[in-house]
Amino acid sequence: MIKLILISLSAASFTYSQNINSGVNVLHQKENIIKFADYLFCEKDYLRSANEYLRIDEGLRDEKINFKIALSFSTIGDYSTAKNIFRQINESSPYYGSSRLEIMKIFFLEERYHELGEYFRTGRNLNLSTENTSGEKLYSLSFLKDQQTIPAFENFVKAFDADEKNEVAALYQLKMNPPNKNPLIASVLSAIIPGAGKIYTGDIGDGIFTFLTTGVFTFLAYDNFKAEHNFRGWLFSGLAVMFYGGNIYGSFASAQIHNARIKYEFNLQLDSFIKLKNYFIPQYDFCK
Amino acid sequence: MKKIFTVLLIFYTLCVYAQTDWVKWEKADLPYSKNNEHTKRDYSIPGESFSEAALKSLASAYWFFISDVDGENCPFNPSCSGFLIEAIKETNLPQGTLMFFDRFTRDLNIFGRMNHYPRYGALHLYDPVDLYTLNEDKIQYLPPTILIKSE
Repeated sequence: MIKLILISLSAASFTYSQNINSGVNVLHQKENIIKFADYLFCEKDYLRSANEYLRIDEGLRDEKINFKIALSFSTIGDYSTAKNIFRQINESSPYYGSSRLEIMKIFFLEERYHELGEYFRTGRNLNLSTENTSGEKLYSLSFLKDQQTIPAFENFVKAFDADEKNEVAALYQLKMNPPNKNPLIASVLSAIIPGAGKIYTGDIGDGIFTFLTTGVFTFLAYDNFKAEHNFRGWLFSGLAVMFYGGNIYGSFASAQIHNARIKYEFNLQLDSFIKLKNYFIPQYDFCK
Repeated sequence: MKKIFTVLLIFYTLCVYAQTDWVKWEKADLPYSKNNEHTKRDYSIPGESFSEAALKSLASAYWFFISDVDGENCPFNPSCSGFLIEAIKETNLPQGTLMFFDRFTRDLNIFGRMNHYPRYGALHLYDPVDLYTLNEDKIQYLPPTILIKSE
């Protein structure tokens, strides 16, 4: 008899735990799903958190839940789903301003700067002072990423706080006056003194070796002609000419690579600044 | 006694059954011979243009008689001979040749290489043709701190 009771209890326990009907199992009721999803969200398990929130019927979800779902998708890089959900957040919701900022952040991350600008301008007149300031900062910095015309310095920095202005000004100056090298100057310098163009672009070692290689082959050509070894003279002359030509060509390429490096490092610096500022989005207090 | 025996038999069977994946713990049959690079070489001669065919023949002869005998000594990927062929394919014969001579001087520079080029696999430095075609759109700067995984 005892065995029968134990087996029945065990079977009932398994059946109960596997039942997802919220009417039978309280663990699957809305409040408990939210509790679990919140826990996953705060543990930064965003994919599973979003999936848990999505288990709640759409009609029963409030704006906060929808915002957290979109935030979860945005964090894991599913930008299109995130944007769709952010856009559904109502203008009267307290999360409307934040969702606008999150959409701008997504445009920024997707490198769709033109759309970011248009989106920002459409909401500029809304009564969202904090979000507008943050949005304007991100919008301003998007000019440094894009190839479009950059606004004048005064207009550019006006949205930023005093503690941000110095860094933003430095980035602005770097964008306007990057320490680029002129490929033509590099080539001309190398044409005058082999290797000089590479030294000008910062490739000092390459420049010295170019000078030595061209110099050695030129000397060998001269020495062989002098000793009347005409074949070797022509052979070394040919090599010297090719190394000389390669050095002029290489200096041009070296300046181009230098400029690409400057651009890469600038973007790295800009990205790290924006990330450090959390895309100018205020911290949420969902996990306090 | 009979019960204990039955339980032990079931337990033992389960244990034996669970351990059937012993194959993966066996000694691996790894080849210890050095890879023969020349078997991977493409010695085919393209028929697109005479200059390309002539140059490929020259490079193939260099690989067969010198490079494969001497060993893989070029610090770069693609190697200088591979760079020459790729450069001519990407551009044209005169430009490709100039790119090769420039690469050769860079190859001679033994100082500061590690801080200048990204690593390619464990032994090489990555210096692709695309950086030197003078087409700015093709230049994709890669910092020396990154590691390019070799094929």
